Amino acid sequence: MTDKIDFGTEAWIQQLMVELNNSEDYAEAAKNWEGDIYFVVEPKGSQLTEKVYMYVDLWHGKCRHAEVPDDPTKFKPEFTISGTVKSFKEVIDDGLDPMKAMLTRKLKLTGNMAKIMRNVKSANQLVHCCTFIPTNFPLE
Amino acid sequence: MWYFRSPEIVFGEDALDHLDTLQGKRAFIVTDPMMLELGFVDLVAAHLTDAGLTVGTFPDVEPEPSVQTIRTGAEKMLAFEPDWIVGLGGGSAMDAAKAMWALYENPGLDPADINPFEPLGLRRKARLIVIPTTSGTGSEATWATVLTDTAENRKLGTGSPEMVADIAIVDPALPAKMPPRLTADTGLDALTHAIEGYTCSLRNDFSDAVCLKAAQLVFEYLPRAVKNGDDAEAREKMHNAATLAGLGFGNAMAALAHSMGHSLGAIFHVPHGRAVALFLPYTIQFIQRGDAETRFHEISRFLGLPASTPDEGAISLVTAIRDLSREVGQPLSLKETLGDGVSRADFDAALDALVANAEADSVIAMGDRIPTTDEVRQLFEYAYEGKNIDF
Ligand SMILES: [Zn+2]
Repeated sequence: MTDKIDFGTEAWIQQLMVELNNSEDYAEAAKNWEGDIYFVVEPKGSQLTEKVYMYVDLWHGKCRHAEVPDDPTKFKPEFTISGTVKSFKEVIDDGLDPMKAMLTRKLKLTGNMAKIMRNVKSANQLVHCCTFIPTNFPLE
Repeated sequence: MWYFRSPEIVFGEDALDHLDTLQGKRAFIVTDPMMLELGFVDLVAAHLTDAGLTVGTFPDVEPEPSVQTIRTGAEKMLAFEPDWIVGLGGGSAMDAAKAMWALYENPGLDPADINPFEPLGLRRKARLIVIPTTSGTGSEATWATVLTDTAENRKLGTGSPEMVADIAIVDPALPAKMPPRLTADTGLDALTHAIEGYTCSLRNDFSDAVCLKAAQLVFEYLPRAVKNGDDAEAREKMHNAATLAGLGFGNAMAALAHSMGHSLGAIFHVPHGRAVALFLPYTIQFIQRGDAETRFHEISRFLGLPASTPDEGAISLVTAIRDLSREVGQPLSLKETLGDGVSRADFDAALDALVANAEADSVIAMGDRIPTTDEVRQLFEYAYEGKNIDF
């Protein structure tokens, strides 16, 4: 039994980078994707005391960099996806369709929407890679 | 949590009379030249005038409306200042009305920036009535709009949940003049909406109900409506079927056949319904061969087709769709669809773009099996030859 990794930590985002770079399916689906992302985790309803910003730089099917910066202004990513720990858990753990999560505003997206809509396949594979990480979600 | 959104639907004989009861000042009709010619614009304008409204018209929506047309129409709208917008016509006119409305409420908005994830702030200035004159697109019941970016030769499928019309007038007198070919194309579009709506990843109990009924109506009444355009019962049932299917996929999603059909339409200008229905059997075969549980057999069971196992049900459905297509004179392969004017070399030259466009269409990821790039290419190639899917 693998130890679970806390969601919203440096260890978790590093593991996501490993999973993305190991995934042939992600590499295929995201081969044309260029763009970096902040996953912004809202503390509401969780053990977190403040917002956590998890950064990934995604480039042609690979993850070039992943980090939870001390100072969120360190990166100016093209996209942000924000939500509570519970919302992220619903998508990653409980099979909530990511499109549905965004359409019901459980996850809020900022950035070029048309670009996201043209790349739903890679977004799906990105979420799929998250499901490979044994994750502990720090809910209240 | 999920939503079931619907306009107020006024249907059946004389549904247009409902327009006489509208409260408002100024109505702006968005339509196409054919509607003027058929006298439908005058007919609708007369009802609106009876209701005491001043009427303006933008009759210049082209098939596959371009982003430029949307901008032009929105400018006319801004000058006219309507409190009702009326989309009158097939999918193109209704889609155009929705997008112009978004720009009218948000001057300067880039149509490409319309999206379902952020509030659009509609209904501060006007509300929307849609009046379909074909039976298939379902646009009268959905929040989607499909525009064409002529610069990039690409369809821009977008929308916002706020863009569901306030009122849909589903009057069977309007599609009664459709020629057989258009009846078949649009009717098969409705069938594709019903089947993809029932089997896509965002399906739900509410959309399931309307999808099944819509599919049943199409199988029963489309051949009659195509053979005899004066069959009033068939016309009315097909008009209802199209709106039901619109409610179905509009509150769930479309899927693979639509991503391929949009792509084909943008490059070879095949009518939308003919394109999506052509691909539908191939995509059912492809999805059925995947690992996920499917539910094509549930549709077959509802239709009374052999469906003792999921595989048998899927095969029955594919056969039934092909039989129906043949009966109403539709092509079964892409080669047949494109005709003699397009050679195999032309098709091969376009294949990269066909694949890229289909992959960039968000609905491609909404089925129970998501194809890789190579599989999308193979799907097009098999459909071209009319070969059953074996991968
Ligand atoms: Zn359609």
